[in-house]
Amino acid sequence: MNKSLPSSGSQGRDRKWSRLVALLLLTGSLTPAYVQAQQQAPVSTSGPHQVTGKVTSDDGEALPGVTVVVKGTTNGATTSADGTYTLTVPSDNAILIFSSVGFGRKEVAVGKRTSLSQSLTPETQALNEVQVVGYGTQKKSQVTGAISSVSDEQLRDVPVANVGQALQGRAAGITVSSNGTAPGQSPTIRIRGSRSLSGSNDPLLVVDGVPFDGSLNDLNPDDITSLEVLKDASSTAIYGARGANGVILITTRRGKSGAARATYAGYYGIKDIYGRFDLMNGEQYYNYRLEAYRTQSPTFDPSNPSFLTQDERNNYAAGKTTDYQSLLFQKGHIQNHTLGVSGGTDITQYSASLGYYDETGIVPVQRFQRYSLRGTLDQQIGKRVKVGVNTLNTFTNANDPNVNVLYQILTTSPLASPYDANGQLVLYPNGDNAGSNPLTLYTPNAHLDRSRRLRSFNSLYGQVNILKGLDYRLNVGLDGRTQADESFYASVTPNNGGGVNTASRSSSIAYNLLAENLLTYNRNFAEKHDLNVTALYSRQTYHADGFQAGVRGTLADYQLADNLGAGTPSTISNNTPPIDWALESYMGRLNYAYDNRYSATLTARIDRSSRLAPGHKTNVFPSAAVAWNIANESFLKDYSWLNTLKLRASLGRVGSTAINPYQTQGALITGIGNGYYNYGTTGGIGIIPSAIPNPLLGWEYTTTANFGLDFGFFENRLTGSVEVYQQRTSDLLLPDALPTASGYSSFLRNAGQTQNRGIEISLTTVNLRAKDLGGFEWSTDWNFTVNREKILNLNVYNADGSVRDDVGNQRFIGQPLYVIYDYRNLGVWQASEADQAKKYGSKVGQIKVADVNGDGKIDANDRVIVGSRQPKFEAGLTNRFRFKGLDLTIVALTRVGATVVDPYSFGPSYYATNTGRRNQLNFDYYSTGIPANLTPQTPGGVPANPSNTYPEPDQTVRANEWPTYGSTLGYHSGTFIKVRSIDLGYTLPAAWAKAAFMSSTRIYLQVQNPYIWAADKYFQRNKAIDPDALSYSTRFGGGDISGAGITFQGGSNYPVTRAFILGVNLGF
Amino acid sequence: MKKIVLATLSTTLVLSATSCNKNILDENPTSVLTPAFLQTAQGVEAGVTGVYSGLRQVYGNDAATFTTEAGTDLWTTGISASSGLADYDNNSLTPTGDGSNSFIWTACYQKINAANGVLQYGPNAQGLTPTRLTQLLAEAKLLRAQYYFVLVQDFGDVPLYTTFIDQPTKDISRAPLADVYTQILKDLTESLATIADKPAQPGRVTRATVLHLLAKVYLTRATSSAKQATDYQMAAQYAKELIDNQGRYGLALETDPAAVFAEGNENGKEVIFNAQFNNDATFTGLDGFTYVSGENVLGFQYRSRYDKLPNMARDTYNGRPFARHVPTYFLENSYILKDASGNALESGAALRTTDTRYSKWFTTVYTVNTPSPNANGGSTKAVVGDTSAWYPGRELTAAQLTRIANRTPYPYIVIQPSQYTTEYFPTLNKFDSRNRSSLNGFSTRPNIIYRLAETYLMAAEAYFYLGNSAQAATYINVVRERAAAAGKKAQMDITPAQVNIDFILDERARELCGEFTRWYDLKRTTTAGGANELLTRIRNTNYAPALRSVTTPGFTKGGVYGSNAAINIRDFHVLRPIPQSEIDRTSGKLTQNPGY
Repeated sequence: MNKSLPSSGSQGRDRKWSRLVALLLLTGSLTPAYVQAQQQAPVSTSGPHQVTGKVTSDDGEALPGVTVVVKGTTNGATTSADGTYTLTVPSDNAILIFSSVGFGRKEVAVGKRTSLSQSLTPETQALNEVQVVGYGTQKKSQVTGAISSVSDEQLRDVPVANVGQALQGRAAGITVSSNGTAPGQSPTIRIRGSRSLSGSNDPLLVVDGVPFDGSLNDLNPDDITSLEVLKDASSTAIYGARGANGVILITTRRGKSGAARATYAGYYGIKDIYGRFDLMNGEQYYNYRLEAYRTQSPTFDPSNPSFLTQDERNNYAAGKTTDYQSLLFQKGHIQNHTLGVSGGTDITQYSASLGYYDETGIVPVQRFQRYSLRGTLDQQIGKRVKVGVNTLNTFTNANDPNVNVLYQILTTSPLASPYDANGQLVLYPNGDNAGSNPLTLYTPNAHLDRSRRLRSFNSLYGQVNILKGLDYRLNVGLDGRTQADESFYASVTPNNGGGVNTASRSSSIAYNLLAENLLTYNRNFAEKHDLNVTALYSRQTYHADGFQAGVRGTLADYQLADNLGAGTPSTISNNTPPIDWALESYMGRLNYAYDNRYSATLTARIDRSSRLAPGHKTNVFPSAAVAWNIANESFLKDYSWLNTLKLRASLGRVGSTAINPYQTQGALITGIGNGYYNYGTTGGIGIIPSAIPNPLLGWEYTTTANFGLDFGFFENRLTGSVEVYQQRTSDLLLPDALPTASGYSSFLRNAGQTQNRGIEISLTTVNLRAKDLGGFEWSTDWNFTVNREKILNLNVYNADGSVRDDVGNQRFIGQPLYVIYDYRNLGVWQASEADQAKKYGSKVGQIKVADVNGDGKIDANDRVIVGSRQPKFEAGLTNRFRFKGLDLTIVALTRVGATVVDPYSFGPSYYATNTGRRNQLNFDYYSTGIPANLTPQTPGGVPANPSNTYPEPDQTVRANEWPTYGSTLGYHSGTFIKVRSIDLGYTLPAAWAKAAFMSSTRIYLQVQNPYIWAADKYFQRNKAIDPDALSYSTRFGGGDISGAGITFQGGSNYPVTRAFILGVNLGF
Repeated sequence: MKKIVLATLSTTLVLSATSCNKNILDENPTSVLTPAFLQTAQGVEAGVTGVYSGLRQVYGNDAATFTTEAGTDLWTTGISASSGLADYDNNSLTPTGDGSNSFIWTACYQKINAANGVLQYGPNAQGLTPTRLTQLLAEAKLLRAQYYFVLVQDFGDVPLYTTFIDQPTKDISRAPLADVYTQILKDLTESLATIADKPAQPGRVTRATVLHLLAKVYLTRATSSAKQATDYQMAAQYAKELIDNQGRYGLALETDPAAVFAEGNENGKEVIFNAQFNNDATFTGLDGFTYVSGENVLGFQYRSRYDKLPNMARDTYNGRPFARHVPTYFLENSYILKDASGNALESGAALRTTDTRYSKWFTTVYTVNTPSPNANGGSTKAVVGDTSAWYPGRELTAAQLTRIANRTPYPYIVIQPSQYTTEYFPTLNKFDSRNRSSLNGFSTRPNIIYRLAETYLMAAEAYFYLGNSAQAATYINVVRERAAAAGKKAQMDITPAQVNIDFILDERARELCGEFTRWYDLKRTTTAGGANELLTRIRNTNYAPALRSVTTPGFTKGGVYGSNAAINIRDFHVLRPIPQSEIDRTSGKLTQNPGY
């Protein structure tokens, strides 16, 4: 990393500067770099003595938390709440260094003084703040790109399980959607929407300069000190072929010079479901099922044995309901403990931390644990050389990452008893194989689903100062991970349905090797010219492979998956086939700034990838950007209310490496269902063609134009930025659904173009500024994002050459990338519409869809775009209040105008059928009523209900169990407001802390997800369903037309949870 | 000095960190197979096996029975997860809703492309003996013909490809039916010239398979728009060649119909072509819950819900009851011996005792396996092995019913034809798989696609159309006599005068019910009056029972039986809908069959 600094040009101060450079480099933080060093003449030597004093700001306010260190030692102290400190200096020669975030650093010689009070000057402007950018840092005033930062302080606002959660609702242009509530779930992150139609729209993660792939859960968020999100081409182009989806730079903590400091951060919380599913109880299920039978056969009598089992009848008569929600949903806990130590001298700095995170689910067994251990060491060798190492190691253990019993909880008959007369669990309580008993999974040795993962992420650098301003740096990254998964299901579980038990194990390994050579040249000429040149040559190689073996019929259940040899092999495969890829890159960047008023950045990166076809491996990604600091113009100097005003513009091109290796070559596959056969008892390993070779496969490119305005008014009480951008992605990697008559079902090719346009507004307002220390303070962070995706071209054309929709892939010109293309639901055919219903082959009580083209029949031509998952806008709001030692933080977000697909009401997902075969959510369904004599538990019978929302249950046999057009029931408004957390903290007065031998103590109480409001009544009734989690849980593919091309990723989600957390942060 | 050391050190680091293998940007995948593999000896072997593997999809999945047996005069709708194909439901049997035919379409074309790859690259493969190579290519040709034959019968005009597709294309349109038949016959004729007489391994196709298929293709083309004057002659010729030379191919009729479907005899002497499965979990999906397309569900499809009967629980012996296809009264009654005028020659307890096929291929009696009350009754007084339920196949007298109801220690359930529902009916047991390792596991048996008895019936059909009813009757009688109860062969014989297309269809029903052929048989044939048999029979509720509520008192006092097939079927239903996704993906270049 590198930071450009103002240089005095004075020879005498060079030594000091070089040390400071080192220091600043090592802190890796946003510490203001403007330094007012003071030269002090040495005074006569004397012995150790105590110094006390008070540190204040220029206007006399006491400053707590200021670090006071005896220069050249680790001996130091931190000021207490009233700004005072006490310290023993070794001699009269001692120099004290006062430093604090947001204030200029000062060095003061102690002399014989025993009392030394000092005032610090606040950093007057953002001018000298340093911004972390790709491959280095820049002065914030000279940054030309669009970058959102999340500071250390913001990160501490909300204890989170992973980095993605830390970003949610915190920065404009970044959409983070939780993918569910199971412990260990990684959220989906999108920067400025989706642009690629193939697999990945995930941003590139870079941890301490090394690209990081894989799970966000491999990082302990407590180890992170800042997050920077690079959004435009100017800032991402230096990541070339990998920058198109944006880049998130993650900076981890490093040691600082000063007294050794130990910290402990810990919390413990209880989580519970936010709300339940509104599920039918026994009586409601009885009525629903009876209605279904009577719709088919109006004289149907519930005494008919096929209606219910005897057990169900008994329970119905007794008014009993089996409520699997009560039986299985339980409280979970979350806890996290991080112990850290850091410190150092001017030449050596170190830090180390140990972390433990533990979260249990809201169903039994489910658990996620992470142990993390990290260390950093930075060492100056002589005057010109510095080396450092950073190692991040985590071990994660996930129990039941794949087991999901929600389907059973929601659909198994509420009338049937889960236990038989002997108290034994019944696998199929009402005898129907479609409704298994989830409790069977939780008997001893019934199942094992465990995933263990070890990751070691290491980087090493060496830096040499060659000439003044010219540095060479070598970064070496070694990132390895290995994962072992085990699973076992006993015979009597829903998974095996009473058949033989099954067990499997798999393991995989992946590693990433990176070497980067960086040359940087930083100079300031004639006071006004800042020049920063960066050149890079890097190589990265990646390898992954894995192996899986499964058996059935093992001898002893209690051995779980520990003795595969005791079973009959059923599957053996390279579940992760060995793959390798390599990337070789050259990059150059030139920053030039004049007088802190005008700056320009030019970058170019050349990437050469193994994944592309010969002759197409090399690509160039250029970008250019300019910025104008209007506030620094002399004609504005007189406007004191104007602190910052900067205009930025950038244009550039970046790529996306969403291509998996070997895709240019075509493939034949083999396996059960894919070519395996047998000739009598002899097995036959057959192959079938599965992918067409594509010797022309290349990268997709995104060209981004970005205009930004940064501003700060009224002593920076109102700061923020506005970004306006347009991105065009060309040569799209299109997974193109092919007619299967060609022998293939899809093909990846470069074709077509998409566009994203948007506006992002970030604002920080200091609504109330304390007049004196401990006064009431209120500040707010606002962010607002509008992004519009649009498909411009799909490379399918009409005869006249105009662009055309690709209905087969459900892609439409002018529409967002993922739209829902289905019939339009008009409600339910009412009694008065019987004739019309008949005309359309339907009947009263069933779903009515629009005959869009008015041809008198409903067919494929009547499908329309009924919605899109693209929101109209998203916004986030963080409010902070401070009074005396108390602080209160509220983080909220909203997403407005998206259409989400809800699996629990979407017919093809089998949660909502209407044959009455299974239990389901309590829909407001069309009913012709049931006479009282047939419903003993519902006195007066079931009244007719001409509902217009959900169709009449109907047993009549048809192709599927869900109602015809049942997919249309699953589309709901995804608009929501979510208060993600409320955090109330109290910082103990320094005197109390000191009495406990601590330098700082903060205790806090936090509520996660205290409140979720959804626009759709359906979600209001079913508080278990989080519209946020549905935002990205669906995948659209042209393949399955009957389900409107929709499949659900990772199945369904357990109810959203609310957690109450008590935590403490201690510093020693 | 220090500087130099450091400079050297850093230079070394740079070089060591970056001077890796020069070819890091070249891809040399060894973990994936590319089409070039088909040019090797191993590639041809594996490629041909891949082509075979499609048989599991076409003849092992749900779609196998839905597309060939459902919606015919033999079966009406069962309780669970039926399909629009069973009752021609206009909301389900649509280009978007008909998942079964869409599945068949995709499975066939993927394997056709695999065969095209083998036939295109295979001839260049080194390391195989010429004999082996010739044999493998002949097998691939036969299988390609078989897949096209399925497609052409289901969909009519279909896209026709005989070269390996290695460039993505959406430029796909339908070739005329005549061209597809020409290609099928070309493949078969070429295969006939070189293929071996007997299989080297169970399941491998042989010259007998080619002969049988040739007869079937000619028989089918003879009633299509692409018919040729010589079609029946050719069909008769190939069928006769196979029948006359069956010994050469190691073929013969089993003497007992029960032996045809005896478990373990799926590669027996009567079998000409089958889809292979076994009980090796490595090669056959067995667990009953993991559907990867290509598992064998045939053991489940025709099975009634015996597990809901009193004193019964699901067990491996009786199998997993999907209850998808319920026999029609027509099918059940077709086994009653009748005279030339159609009058029954049997009655009462003697019903269906001359023709033994009903008693051998349908399960009508269940024995107690769980003597305890379940949802539908039962008692601990019941005795394991004693009768639990009986489908007598006729209505019993009140006295008989009373006697059974008063039986000790415990009565059994009687389910008469009037009490059949979508859940309770006699079960076709041809595909029973009792050696499965788990209760709900998939079948471990190969499914028979073609067998010699059908060759006789095809020969009869061809000779009948050629005007030689005597020869036709002779062939039919071979099959009928084999089915006769001991000493009753003569009663089973028919005279040449009795031979007509309806009799042939009825005989095919008795012999081949459930064996992936009925829908094609009806579609292929026309009544004496020239009307399509499929449309005629389905519209006639004597064949396709109308939906009715079953409310007879007793155990089965509720439920429904029958379907709306007779009401729903339309003239255009003689062809299946082209999958809508195929039309969408070719931007409409692939046209839909009329009516859909």
